[in-house]
Amino acid sequence: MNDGSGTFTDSGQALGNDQGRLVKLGDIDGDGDLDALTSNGSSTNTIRVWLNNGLAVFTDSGQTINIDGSNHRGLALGDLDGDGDLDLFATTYGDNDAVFLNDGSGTFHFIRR
Amino acid sequence: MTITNGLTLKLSLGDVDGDGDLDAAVSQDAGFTKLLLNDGTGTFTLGQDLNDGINSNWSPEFGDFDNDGDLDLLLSKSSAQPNTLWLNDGNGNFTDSGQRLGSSATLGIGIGDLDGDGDLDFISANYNTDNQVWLNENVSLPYTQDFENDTWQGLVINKPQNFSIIDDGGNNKFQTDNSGLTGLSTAVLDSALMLPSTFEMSVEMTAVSGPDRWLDGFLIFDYQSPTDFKYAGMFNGQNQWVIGHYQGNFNDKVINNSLIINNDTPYTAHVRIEGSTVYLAVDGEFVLERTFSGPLNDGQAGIASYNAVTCFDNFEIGVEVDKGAPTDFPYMEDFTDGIADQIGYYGGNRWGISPVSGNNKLFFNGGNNFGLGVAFLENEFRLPNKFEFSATMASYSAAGFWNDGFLVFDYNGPNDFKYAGMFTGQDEWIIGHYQGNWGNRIATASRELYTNIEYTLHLKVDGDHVKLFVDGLPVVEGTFTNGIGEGKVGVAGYNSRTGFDNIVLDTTVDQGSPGLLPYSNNFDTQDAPGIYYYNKLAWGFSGSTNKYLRANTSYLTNPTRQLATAYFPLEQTTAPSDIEITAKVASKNGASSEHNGYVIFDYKHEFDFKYAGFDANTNQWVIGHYQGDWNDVRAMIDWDDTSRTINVNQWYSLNVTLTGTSVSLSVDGEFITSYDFGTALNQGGIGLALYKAFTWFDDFNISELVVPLAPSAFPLFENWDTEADELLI
Repeated sequence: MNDGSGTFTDSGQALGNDQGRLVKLGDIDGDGDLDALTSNGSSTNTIRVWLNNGLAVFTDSGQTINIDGSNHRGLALGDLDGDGDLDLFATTYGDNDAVFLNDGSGTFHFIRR
Repeated sequence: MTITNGLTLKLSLGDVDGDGDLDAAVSQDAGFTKLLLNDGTGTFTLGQDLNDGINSNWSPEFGDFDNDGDLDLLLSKSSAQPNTLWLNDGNGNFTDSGQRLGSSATLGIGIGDLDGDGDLDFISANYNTDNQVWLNENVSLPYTQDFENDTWQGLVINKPQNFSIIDDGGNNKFQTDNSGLTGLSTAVLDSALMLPSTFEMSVEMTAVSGPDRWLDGFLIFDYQSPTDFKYAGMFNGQNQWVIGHYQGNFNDKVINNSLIINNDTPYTAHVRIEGSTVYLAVDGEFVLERTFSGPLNDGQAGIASYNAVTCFDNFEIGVEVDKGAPTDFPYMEDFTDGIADQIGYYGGNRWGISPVSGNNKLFFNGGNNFGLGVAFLENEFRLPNKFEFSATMASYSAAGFWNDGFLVFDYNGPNDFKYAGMFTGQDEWIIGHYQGNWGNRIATASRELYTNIEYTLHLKVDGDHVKLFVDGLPVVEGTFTNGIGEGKVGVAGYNSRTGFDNIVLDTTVDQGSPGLLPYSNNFDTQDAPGIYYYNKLAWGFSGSTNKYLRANTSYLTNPTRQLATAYFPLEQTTAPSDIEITAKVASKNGASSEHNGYVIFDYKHEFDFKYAGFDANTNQWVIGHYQGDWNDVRAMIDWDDTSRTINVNQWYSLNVTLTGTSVSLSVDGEFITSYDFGTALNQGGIGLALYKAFTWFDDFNISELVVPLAPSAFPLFENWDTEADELLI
């Protein structure tokens, strides 16, 4: 059905509107599709987690990842604790960077900075 | 090494020219993104300037977005400008795709296959507006979506939160819930391709009743924006089928309110768009049309619901969509009233209706080498891609005439049509494409063909494939590689005197088509629908109280007329492998001294069938393979050996079972003999036959042989109390 011709259409979804800076993709909930994390600017300074249903329909996981109002900007996903899921390393503008570990469900828990 | 200067921001590395080294794309804030080509030693030279007219470049991102094996470039912009996509020709030459994706500052791009369809999509992190999900899709026609894979892939929806796949008793449907009067939901085909000027759409839609909602559903087209599109659909509450132009409201519409529209009831809406005209049909019946001022293929097309909860299923878009399309079906003409309804003619002065034995037929008289004559159906609606077409025809022998007759389809004129029919003189059934001559043939079958004999032709057209059945049995089939178009259907003759009757056109037509089991007939109504004959004139019904089927060829001297068969043609694809046939057979004294009667099976034609029955003259029960004579006997029981006699004038109840490749014959409950032919026996007709004899047949039944489960040889426990107790110890 899809010839992947490089013709793009806006799916019509709005993944937050708070000064988006960066987006990283990865299967953070282990369901086989690519989910998205977005970092945002000074209006909220939060990292938000969007879960894909497999059809590129994203829902807000409800997580607003932020430590003490820090300005998280750079994002990297990788398995930092060897448990097989993607964890989050977030750089912070003007403060210490932070590590958040994924519990496997796509929920991130702050560990250290 | 100074390569570029200026306000350079970000760069990405990738082998753009396929030479095995990493090249670079660098963005410039006050200029355009530039390519830097690596010579393999790390020495870069300035390459193409990616001038898209937007000079606030932020980040170049490589990806093979068009699946052609090279790296394309997505350029994000740092100001309120659209991102652009550049496509690589494989040699590092980039062309602006022309797409302008978004309108805000995009500071981050995430590239990946987000919808699992094998190509690269992306999310743009936008600084001043919503982050956006961009899907790489280009759906081609025909597009069909039954939602059974739990997806609506290929459709772009405007309100993801409103749409869902629901399970309606095992059948998935696509539902949008706008209850609470939440406005418009649309799902449009995800394609940047221009739709053709003529195209069709079909969808099954149900307005779901409940509180706080409207009741409607629409096919939409020429979709330009949420406040500018055309629609064809239903307002259930007003019993209105409508075609209109939505411009923020539904005021501009034409209405057919002559039909009742029920809630919670699926309707198949079908739209045909021809240029600027729209035709709406519902469940195969035309209801409404409207001509707009301009072409209607410019925008997108899809489905919509407004303030309603609407279920959709089986959505299709294509140049032609059969489902729900209006047709002239069923068309049936037997000429009884002396009028040929909806028929047009080529060679009109050579066509007429006249009776044969009191039964009106449509005749073509092509004497004196008149050439071609065609009688074609003046259909109002286009033919679907799949249909069946049948007629009976006989070519009559006369001096100076050819002997032929054809079903015609895709008739575009007397020098361009397809045909399936008989060249009686050449003993050939043929499918071909007439283009001023009969030379372009795609399939031919040689058979003995007879003048003055009426054949029932049945044509199954499926796309570009056609299959011709004659008297219920498949004869010839083929595929037109140049396609079967929109031409008309009809009947034709060439230099011939041919009579046609019982022209039937429908989605499925029983006449001339093989049948499904079971078949059962005691002939008490002196009728045998579904039965076809060889040597039909020899067959008839007799009897006073108990009627039966009989044939008499005992008085005939022409060897080809001494055989008579009556058969039920089995539909091959669904025929069970194990079949039970029962019939009562009695041989009578006729003009000849022959006395025989047979159940026949695997009947291909009058020169190829298998048989199981009796020859009373030789006092033998036989199983054999008839191929023009009765010599190929495979199993035989001679009652002379047991001093028994096969009597004339006595009914025998024959039971013939086909189990895969084997046949078994029993008579009056007594097993006689069996034989394994080594080939499947369920692929032809099943019937009755005699040869140069006078024979009665009655209570003819064909059914799938169902073998009851064999009882267990031993009960698990013959003596439950003791044996079970022993096991339990």
